[in-house]
Amino acid sequence: MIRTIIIDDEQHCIDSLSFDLQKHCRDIEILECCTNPKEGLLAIKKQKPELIFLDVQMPWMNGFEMLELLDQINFAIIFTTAFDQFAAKAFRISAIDYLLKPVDVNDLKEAVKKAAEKIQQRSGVENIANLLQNIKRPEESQRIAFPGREGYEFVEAGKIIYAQAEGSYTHVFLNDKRKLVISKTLSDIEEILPPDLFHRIHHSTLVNLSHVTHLFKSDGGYIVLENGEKLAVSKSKKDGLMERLGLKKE
Amino acid sequence: MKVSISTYWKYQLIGWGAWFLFDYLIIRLPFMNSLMASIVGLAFSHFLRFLIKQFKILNKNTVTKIIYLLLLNSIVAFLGTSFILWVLEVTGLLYKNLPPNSFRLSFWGEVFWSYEQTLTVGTAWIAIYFAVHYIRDLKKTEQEKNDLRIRLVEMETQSLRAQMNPQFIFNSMNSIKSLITKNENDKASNYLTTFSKLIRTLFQNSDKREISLFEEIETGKLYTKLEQLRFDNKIDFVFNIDEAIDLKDIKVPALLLQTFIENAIWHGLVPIENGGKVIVSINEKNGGVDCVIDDNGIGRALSKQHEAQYQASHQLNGISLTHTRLDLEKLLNERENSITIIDKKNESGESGGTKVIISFKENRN
Repeated sequence: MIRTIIIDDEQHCIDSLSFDLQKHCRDIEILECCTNPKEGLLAIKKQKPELIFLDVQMPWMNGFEMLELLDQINFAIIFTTAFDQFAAKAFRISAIDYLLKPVDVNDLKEAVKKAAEKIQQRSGVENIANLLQNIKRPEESQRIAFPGREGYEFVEAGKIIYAQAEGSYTHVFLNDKRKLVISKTLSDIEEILPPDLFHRIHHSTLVNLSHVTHLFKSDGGYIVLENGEKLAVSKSKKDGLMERLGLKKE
Repeated sequence: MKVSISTYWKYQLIGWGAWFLFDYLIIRLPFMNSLMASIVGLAFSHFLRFLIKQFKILNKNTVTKIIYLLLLNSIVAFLGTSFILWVLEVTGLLYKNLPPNSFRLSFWGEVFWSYEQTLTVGTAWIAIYFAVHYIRDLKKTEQEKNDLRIRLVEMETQSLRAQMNPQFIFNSMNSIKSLITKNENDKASNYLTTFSKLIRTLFQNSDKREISLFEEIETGKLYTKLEQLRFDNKIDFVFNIDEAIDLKDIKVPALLLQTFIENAIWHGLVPIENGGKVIVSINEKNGGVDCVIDDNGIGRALSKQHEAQYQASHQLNGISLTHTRLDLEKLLNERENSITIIDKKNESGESGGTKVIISFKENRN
């Protein structure tokens, strides 16, 4: 049984979540439900849960602030939110599981399954710490969690020069000359990178515009990066790129 | 593109009148000759204008325009010269002032000799005609640009208005779900019906610049009913409406009241364990109408203090959105709407909630 606490300021959210958990996730044991973060903190200290369901938006103190008051986080967390695009983005960047309310049962089962794995492996704590940092940082210094074979690698968005599609994999090139091979498509990667920083210049290339030094119109159009590398710009993406760089379209 | 008759004839009469005075007073041509010249000029320039319109020359490109105008000008000028000389000859005015037996050109010789003059006059006339049109077009495009800008502003306000806090919508859905799971069928169906009513009014009003105060209050009532169900009657709502006011006759920006009621609930009352009360009152005041949203919550200062940093940036924009909205409406309607926010204090000087007064002055149709 997974020892679980639910923290949500709205009683009806607690009601429907515990209903779904009791019905579909038999290995969850709900120890306590709290309607405010203060009760939540006390319950965590007392019950020592393995998993908490945590609402992001609560009065007095939101879910993130509540976590920051804890000395250590030694439990898995599944965040819940009704509609919070800011939080949702932070979750995606940091590879954190979250549920949208009203909760879909399949999403819930999936999230609980992943949480159970994390509890067994005692992992995932690093992702939470990274999330709590990311919500306070500007985009270029947010650290993106890239999934690897044995966990995650956290990379500052500003240090990524470009990403290139290689079949169903993506190669991510960093400014310390390292290359990460991620088993995700370029579009998946594009979703977790800050859109203000990155631009798709080719169907297989996503580039960090702050690392671009030159733009050449000859040979079908290409850009030059700080490290001297050249990347082709596709015909259909040329106008969009010019616009992003503040240049006039032809 | 057409010059309106009045403006065209005004310019024509002023122009040819001036021409007549110039001929008669400065060049000292005989009165009748000067008059004839101006009348014929008026007639033939009008004929030229008729041809310009007939061939739609204003819409042609520059080169075609010039070719057409050269052609028309030489033809009309020739006809005009021949006509005026013929008239002058028939009436005997042509040679009246010449000493007898002086050298006379043949009729066609006279025409040829005067042709240059008429051509110059014709060219000048065309130049003025096109210059006036050009200036009018410039003004018109400027006007169109302005109209477009106003339309853009309207569209922006429209998209702002269409927004109901998505958080509220999803939370309502979840409330319904929780009632269903608890088998509270009556409550669930009641909630669902009220929710549909609210969504329907939102759809209906989304394309309107403003709605009647009556509709806005109805929307507010539906909204408060839902929140009341959601908070298990923890929050109390009272609507005090002066029955003497014809609510349907007063237009207000859509979702205006709702935004302030929502603020009162979420930033004033929700943080209080025992809940609280929101009083919405509509009163006549100084010929206008005051909408007052009064809560006994924690007040703005305390609320701000307890709002998480990141939340403050994207949740509080409820109020600022409405502020922009009111500003825009003011801009568009030149009505003097205003919002006053009062931080209430109890006897011991502690914060005792917030009172928002929205005044609509002379806001009738």
